[in-house]
Amino acid sequence: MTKPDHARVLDAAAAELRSAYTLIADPDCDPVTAMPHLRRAWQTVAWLSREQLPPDDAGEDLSSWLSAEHLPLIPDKERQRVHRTLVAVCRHPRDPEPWGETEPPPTIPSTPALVSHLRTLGRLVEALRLQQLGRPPKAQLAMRWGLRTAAWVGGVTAFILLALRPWQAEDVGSWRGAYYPTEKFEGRPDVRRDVDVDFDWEKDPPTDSIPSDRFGARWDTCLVIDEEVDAAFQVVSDDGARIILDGKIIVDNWEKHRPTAKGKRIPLSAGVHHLRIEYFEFKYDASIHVTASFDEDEPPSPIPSRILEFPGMEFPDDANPCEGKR
Amino acid sequence: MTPEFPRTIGRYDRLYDGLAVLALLVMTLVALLTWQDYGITWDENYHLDYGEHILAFYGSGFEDQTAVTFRIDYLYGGGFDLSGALFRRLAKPLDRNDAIHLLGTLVGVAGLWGTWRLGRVLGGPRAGLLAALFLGATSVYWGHMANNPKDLPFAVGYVWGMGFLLQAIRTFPRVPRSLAIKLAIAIGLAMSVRIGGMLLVCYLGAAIGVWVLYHGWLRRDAEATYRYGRRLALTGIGVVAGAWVVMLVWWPWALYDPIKRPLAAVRRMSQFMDHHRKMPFAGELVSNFDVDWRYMPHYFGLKMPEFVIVLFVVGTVVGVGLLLHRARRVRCFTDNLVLGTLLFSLWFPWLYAVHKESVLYDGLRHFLFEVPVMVAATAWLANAIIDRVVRRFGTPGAVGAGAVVAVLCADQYATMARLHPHEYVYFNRFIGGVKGAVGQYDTDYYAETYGDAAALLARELWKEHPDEYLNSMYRVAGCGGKQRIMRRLPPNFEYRKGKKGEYDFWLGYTRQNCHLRHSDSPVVATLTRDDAVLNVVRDVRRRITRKTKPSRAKPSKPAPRTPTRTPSSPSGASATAGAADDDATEPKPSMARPGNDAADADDAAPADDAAAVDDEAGPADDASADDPEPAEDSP
Repeated sequence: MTKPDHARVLDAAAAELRSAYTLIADPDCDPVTAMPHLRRAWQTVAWLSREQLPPDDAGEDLSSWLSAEHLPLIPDKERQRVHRTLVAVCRHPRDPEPWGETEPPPTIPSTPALVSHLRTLGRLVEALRLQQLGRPPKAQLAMRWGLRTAAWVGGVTAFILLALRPWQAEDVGSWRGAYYPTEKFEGRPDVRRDVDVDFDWEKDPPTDSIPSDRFGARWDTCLVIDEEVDAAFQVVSDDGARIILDGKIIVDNWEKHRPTAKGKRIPLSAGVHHLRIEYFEFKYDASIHVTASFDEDEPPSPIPSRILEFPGMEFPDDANPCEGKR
Repeated sequence: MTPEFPRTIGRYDRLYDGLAVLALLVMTLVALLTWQDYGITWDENYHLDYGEHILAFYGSGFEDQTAVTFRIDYLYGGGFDLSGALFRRLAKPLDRNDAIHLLGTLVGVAGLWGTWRLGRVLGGPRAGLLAALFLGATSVYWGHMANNPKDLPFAVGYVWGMGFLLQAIRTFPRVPRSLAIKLAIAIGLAMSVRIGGMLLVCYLGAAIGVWVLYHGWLRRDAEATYRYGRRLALTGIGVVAGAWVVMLVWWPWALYDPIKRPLAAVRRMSQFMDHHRKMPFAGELVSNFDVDWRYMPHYFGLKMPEFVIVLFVVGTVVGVGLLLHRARRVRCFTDNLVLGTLLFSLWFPWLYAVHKESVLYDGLRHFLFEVPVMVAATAWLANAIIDRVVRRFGTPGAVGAGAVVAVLCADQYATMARLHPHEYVYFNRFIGGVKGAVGQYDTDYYAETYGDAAALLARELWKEHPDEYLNSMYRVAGCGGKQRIMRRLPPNFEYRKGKKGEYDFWLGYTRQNCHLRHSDSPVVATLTRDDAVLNVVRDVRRRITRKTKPSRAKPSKPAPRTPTRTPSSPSGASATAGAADDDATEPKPSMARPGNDAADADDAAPADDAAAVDDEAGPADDASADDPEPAEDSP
């Protein structure tokens, strides 16, 4: 007797599975007609798993059908249910003829239960096929477990990230912004971190406790330059603004005006520089945008945060907060 | 393996799936690295506002009714718009345009995966791989991903819906519950973006009807037919009801009459008469009310990659032949039904649009939903061809087929890289690429190029006079409206509308020959791709004195000017400071004088351009609008 190859048996299992499903899914067919196909499909599975045919009845449990290697492919809690259906499947061919005078035929499980049973069987056939392709059941189970874990970890991580939204944290930004209630930087300022000096308040106040007109603001940051470069700074503001680098005013536009651009090109030495922007708003619309260019081919754009370092929240107005950085 | 699909795993299936996942991951990565390059398009801001209004509708406990009457947007579900409003809150500090571009990109990526899935349903893992590669090589899809708030999300819902639908057909008469739920959600999401998603409901109904009638006829048994009909009708009703609920959640206007209003929207969208414009089509200037059956074939024929078009035409012939050939084979019925549904879904929308004489414009944008399905269908045919080649020639055949696919895709990827980020202006070689299409067909109809053109202007001014640049405020204007033009301009640029003299630079895209306005002013920069002009920036502070005034061309016959070439940079941008427009690489100009641009007042230039235009090509009667945008479109 020639030993059939596994591929042929697997194809047979798939065909029986499909036939059983076709009959079970057909509302015009009695599910009992699917039993021989179902039994044959199980037989092929048993042959592939244990390399021998199962007993005529369903046996004590699934171990009569599946080897110890394949049994874990069916979760513990499902095994009993699967075996119960298998019992009904196996009894059917030995049922007495309907014209006989013996016990009534066994109850066939409901259609949804049979469909569910078919799915379990389908997973088994798939696992056996994968085994033929070189993936042992243990590896498959590990893969399944890994995927589930990854899905859970990913889901939980996504949920936590969305709940916390660290990218929306307010204590980020390389600029220390101090907002004063007067144009002359008098009074107690509102201090916060800003990502950029790029504001268009129109007629609104910059913070809740600062008026929308006649206020002042000062931003400080540490500009980290790795190598000497020709830089260009520009401020576009309504009203007055000035750029102060290492205590020296390099751009001065300290007047009342509508949006106006003012800028300057200067050489910057390598090292950490204290960059300060001062601004005042007189009346009506308020806006300020600070840009810089460190590449002569590129026009000024917002200063990238990677070359900025936060100077800290607390330091005297006349101090250089960047001293000692880096 | 499931009992519904006990497919035998092929020897290389895992390899194909692995390659497909790898390709899709690379595409996802590319999309996530480039989404910020894309400009803002005409429809975006209204959809952003609509999303906020829908959120306000729910947030106010249905008190805020703005969403119910908002422009004509109320005729659309807010599937993408409301999602966008929610996403913007999560994505802060991204601004609203960036946030919606990111969401659009993610949705577009979902469409790439959905097309892989559809290809896989049609022809297995290799067809899935081909579908993913082909769609990734389709410029018109890729170019719409970031900034099309309706056609692209609809296309994504549609391709997922088609995937689930065709899969469900294979499981008739007992559709697994999970599959039915997925189908309902996909159809519902598609309908929640555009009511045209109801096409999927029609396909489902038609497939159920054909299946029941066929099996009833096979059995010659009324009771069996009744049982089949009842089972599938219940499934169909469940799916449609679920889809309807999913759709309504996003659509405040429809909530007030859940049955009649969506159907009214279908009627309204099928014959959308609110937006009249003249547009180039096949070298002529035509009204969007007068397009005929040729419109979609032209655009699909010229805007899809050549090999996709060839495969699609061949595939249709092969598909119909196959259907006829095996029509009598009972065992092939399910395959026939799947193939028939696919072919129907590919041809019916166009035939319906022709029948309804639908108003069409903006290239194939309204039919973008067909693109992924079309690509998956061509992948199915390519897979069948490769299958035969491999069977006939073995490994050499497989290697050869792989090489052909690689070359075809690489060619398209290279084109996309050259066009980036304006991939959506792509035209294939049948018309000579984008260059051949400018003036003949709509290219940058969505004003997407303004961001790039504006950035080009800033760079040019900086390069020429950096000190002057640092101390100057520049005033710009153009047909693109404030948001598109100002998007990438530094703060020392201001948008101006109004009379000539109030702005320094004019940015003109090619739609309605906007780029030809102010042609008496020198060109500062020209945005080009593949030698085709997409946007021209002019310095209107200066004028070129002409000795003779050129005569106007006749409207019916475009009088192509053959300009001298402008050197273009590798990125496709060129700067020609001081050159008059005749020195720029002009497109074949098309229709010399759009006749009724006044009707299209919504995307017009500053009002006085008529006075400013003294050349042969500018529209003379544009109305003025701040950030003017066209009314919305038909499905």
